Amino acid sequence: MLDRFGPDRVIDTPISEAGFLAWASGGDDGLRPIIEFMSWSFTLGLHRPDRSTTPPRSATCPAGSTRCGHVRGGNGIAHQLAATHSHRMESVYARIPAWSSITPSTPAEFQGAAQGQHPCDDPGDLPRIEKC
Amino acid sequence: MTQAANTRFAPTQTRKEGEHKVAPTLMPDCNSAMALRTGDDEEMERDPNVLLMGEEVAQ
Repeated sequence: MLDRFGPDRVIDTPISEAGFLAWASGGDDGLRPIIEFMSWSFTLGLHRPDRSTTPPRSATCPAGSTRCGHVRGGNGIAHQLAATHSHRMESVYARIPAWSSITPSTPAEFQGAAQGQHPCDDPGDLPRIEKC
Repeated sequence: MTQAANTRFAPTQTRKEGEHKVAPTLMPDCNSAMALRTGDDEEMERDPNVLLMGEEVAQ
């Protein structure tokens, strides 16, 4: 994908979830970023009111003038990293207002979720099983 | 020997060699990660405002 779309649209990040999640939240430049966490376990550090609720607030508080990117990541069992990367976070995010949590289970559902998420202006997380 | 003892209640069937093989289909060989990337690819092609960001997404 990097070769096809270039480094301006396929952006590799350091381990800085708070940083690039914040970047994707609240922009009014019309971009639709897809934020991919390597593991939802990494978002445990974001669970402060100013972080985990920023994406949904960005879509609701300024009267819908800003948009948030869509967020997804590995969820649940992690091969060889079970002790630190096996958190299942879909139920947590499902309880934060304005987040929507999607858990596809088949390749067809994964592709459908990827294709269907972008036209939606709501923030949404897309937990997916790691190492499929 | 009674009649019941001679009755075969669950008749077995001997299949010929190769009869169990599944006929080839057009089903794509695709796992979830590949399907996700396919969806991303099509959306990024359709909408130039879509971009992908994360750890190792460019690898």
